[in-house]
Amino acid sequence: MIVEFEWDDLMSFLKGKVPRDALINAIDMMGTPVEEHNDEIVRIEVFPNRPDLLDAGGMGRALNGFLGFEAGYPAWRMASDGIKCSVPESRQSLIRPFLSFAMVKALKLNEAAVKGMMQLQEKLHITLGRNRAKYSIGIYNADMIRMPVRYEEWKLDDISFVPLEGSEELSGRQILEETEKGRAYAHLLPEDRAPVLLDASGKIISMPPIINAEFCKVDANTTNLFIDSTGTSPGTDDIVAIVATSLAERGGIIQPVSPGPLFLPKRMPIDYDRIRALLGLEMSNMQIDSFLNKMRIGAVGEATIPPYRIDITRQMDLAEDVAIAYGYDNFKFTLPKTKLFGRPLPSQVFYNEIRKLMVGFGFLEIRGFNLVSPLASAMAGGANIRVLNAKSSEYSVLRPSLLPGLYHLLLRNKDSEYPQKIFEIGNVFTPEQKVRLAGFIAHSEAGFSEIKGIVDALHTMVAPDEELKWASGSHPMFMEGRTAVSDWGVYGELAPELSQQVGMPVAGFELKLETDL
Amino acid sequence: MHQYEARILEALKKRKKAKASELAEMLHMSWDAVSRMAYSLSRKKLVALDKITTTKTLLTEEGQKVLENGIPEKQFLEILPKNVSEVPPDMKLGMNWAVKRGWAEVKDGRVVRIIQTPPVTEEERALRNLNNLGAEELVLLRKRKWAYRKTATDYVISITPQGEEAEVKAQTTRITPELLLSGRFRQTKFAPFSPDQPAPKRWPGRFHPMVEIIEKVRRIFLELGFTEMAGPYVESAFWDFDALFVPQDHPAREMQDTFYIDGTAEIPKGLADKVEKAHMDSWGNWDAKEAVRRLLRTHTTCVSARALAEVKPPAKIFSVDWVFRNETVDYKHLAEFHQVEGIVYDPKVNLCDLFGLLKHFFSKLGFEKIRIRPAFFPYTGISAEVDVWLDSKGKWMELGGAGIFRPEVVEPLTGEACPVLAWGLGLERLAMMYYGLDDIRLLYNSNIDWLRKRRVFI
Repeated sequence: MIVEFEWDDLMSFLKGKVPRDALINAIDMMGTPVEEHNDEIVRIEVFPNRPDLLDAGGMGRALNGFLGFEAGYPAWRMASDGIKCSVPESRQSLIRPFLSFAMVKALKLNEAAVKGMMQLQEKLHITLGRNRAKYSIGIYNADMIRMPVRYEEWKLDDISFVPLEGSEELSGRQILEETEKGRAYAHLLPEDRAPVLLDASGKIISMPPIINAEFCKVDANTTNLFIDSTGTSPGTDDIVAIVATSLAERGGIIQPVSPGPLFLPKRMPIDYDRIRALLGLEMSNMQIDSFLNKMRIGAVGEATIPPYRIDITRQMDLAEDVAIAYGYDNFKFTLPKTKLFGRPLPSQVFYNEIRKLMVGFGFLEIRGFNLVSPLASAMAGGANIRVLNAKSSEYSVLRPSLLPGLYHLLLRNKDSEYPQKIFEIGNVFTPEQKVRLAGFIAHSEAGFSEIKGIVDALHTMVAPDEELKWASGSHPMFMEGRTAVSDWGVYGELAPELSQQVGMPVAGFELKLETDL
Repeated sequence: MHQYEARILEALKKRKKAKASELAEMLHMSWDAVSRMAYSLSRKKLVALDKITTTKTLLTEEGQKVLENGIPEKQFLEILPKNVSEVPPDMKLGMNWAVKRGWAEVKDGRVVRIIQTPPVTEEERALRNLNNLGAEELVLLRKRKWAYRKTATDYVISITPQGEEAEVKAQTTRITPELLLSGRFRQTKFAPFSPDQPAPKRWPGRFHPMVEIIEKVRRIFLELGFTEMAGPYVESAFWDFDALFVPQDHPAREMQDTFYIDGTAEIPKGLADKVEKAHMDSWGNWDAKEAVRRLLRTHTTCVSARALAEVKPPAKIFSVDWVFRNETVDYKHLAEFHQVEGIVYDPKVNLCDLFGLLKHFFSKLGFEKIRIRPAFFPYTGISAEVDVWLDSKGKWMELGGAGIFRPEVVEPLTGEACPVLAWGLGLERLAMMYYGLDDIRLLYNSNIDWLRKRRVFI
């Protein structure tokens, strides 16, 4: 997920001075690759395990640790006046049974902050929120809302409010049918009902997971924020914690609301030996503690993990943070001490021997796709395994034979000098996955006897002790009366209707290549 | 005089002048041979050569398909979906043309047929009449990239007065066993050969360029003591995703990224219970129905997962093979490509060993300078990406992923907590770099000339 920050906004969070180049390198080595930057903005890739870095506040907080400007568990100003929001008793039957709230007060916002907040919300919706199906987020101007807020579910036709960016009241149904967000997310709701969040005076503040009301919209002058997350899975506390702690980096005071996160650290013992063993580094417990501190994790024998670090559940996760803080570029290069001898797959060794023989015969090796068009698949007859959801019908069926692909290659290469001799070793699906060897020769004298000579020679070299009975037979791609078949496969002259398209006589073969032939 | 020269001169004495292509047909010789001989005759001033070029119209691959399957706008009319959102991506072009021609209309996202039977178009007539195309028809076909003009060279060979008078006497060109054994070669006059003389082109059989890269990678792994393994292309979601701790609602598992196939797969019961527990503990949901879905494997990491469930430590395993992604194919994306992956399953290994292996591995691939950065993969607890330095471009290029498998992957599969180092990369990127390709499709949609003439791979 790529996020975009204004340099000025990001730098405003840093508690020390650092040259631009060093900062870019630090962002890279912290595990968030810089994709692009210019004088004004920087675009950074944030992996899904670190949603706390999707906002400039969270990114700045992490960089302060990584650059040594601050260390350890980050401090927020907290306050509490015990707001309790109300939620229906039996939650299981709700459309969005999980919900959490929080407030962030006394904030100084500006345009960049509002833009960043919207980006954070949008990126969380896409990633952790699974396009709002799992979690959605609302952020409101708390001064416009009378506490406490309550969650209810109403008939669509009973819902009426002015949605965000709107100017007139719309019914719930109109919102789903007429607004852009409504159309995009209507599928997340049942036919006739929707959740609504109402303030104490009974005003609808939002219809999750679709849209907020216009009257409590956040802008650059807003100082107090109310945050909600509703969802279909547990975890809305984490989402609210990520959003609130990111915003609080702008100097705000976090005020927990019930139900919602308490903003307490997760505690985990530190298995120092295990971390040393995993990393292969000689370092003292104190060094490990200080590297964890650099990653904003409190560490004294026990790790205190900020509530926004939802990715840390195991010792290995702590070890990874230690490794990042130590610097991936500072590791020494060693090799595993255990001595082992490698062995190739016997089948690969066999295929390579066949490959050499074919090249010895003067054949050019081809490698084709396993997925072909239905038309190409039908050419040679046989099984027909379709993928259910191919973007293009050109690549939608697992090939039952190598011959159609090789034939099309001849068609595409009519400009190249003849004689042309091509072969392929590849998988076919009959429907079981099997390995085949197939080839074509195309030139003015190409015919049955040349291809028979090659197949016979292969037989001599590959399985001289195996008795093989070739009999006249038929094959959809070969010419009646000039086709030989056996348990091993088929060879013969290409049907004249097909070789006409090539403009040259063509003969070919396809043989099973199971090692135990 | 070469015996073929003699035959050509003989023919020209009667016809005075003829095209090389006509002579080739008349004398049952290849055009190459006739031109070669004519060239040699012209050096002796017995014939005069006049180079002529003719152009003919040929179908492109796309044009060939259109000729076989019908023009896209008619193909589109045949399937005519109800809504624009149901139009398969490869039918979009057909839809646009059908609308442009006024055969169909798109209104509020719905597709409406306007005419029942579309007329025969200019393009279709032109396709069937390639040899007598008018200028406008040619423009039509070229605009839609169905046809191109190809220039062919021929020679008009006319006999000179010297040629008329020359005595036609075949000189011996070939040294035969009979000439050698009898000793008559001593009295024979042999026709001289000149290096200027054109000769038929010769091309050897060769390995496919991708196979050469695969072989190089296999050799590196075998030298490093890794044992090769393989797995099926049609895999269960269980091995491709669940065993690797990819949550069941992860976006990579959706239809738009992964190819699914009808039917269900067998999954190992005991292991499935353990994997279920790992998912339930961390993600809070897991459904066996999702795990038994069949798909085309999206990475070779599922081979590593299968290996972990089978072997005992210490073990070093690698695999290299096809993987599949539901991509729209273009110059830099394929729906199937090759991946290689190696794992070290050994209680004694650590991150320094992984980085050392990466350094070693990439230097054997020809990249002396590498950079290892933190990264993220769902199945590694400590994750890294490998950049290699490209001197030619003066920049870093991302080439591989690596890490130590998460305990949630290793413990259910092996029954113990043991470090498993893993790394892998896509080979097509490497191939594009080694062979200097701009279009990744060339590797498989192969041009025989390119396969024949490409520089040797070292």
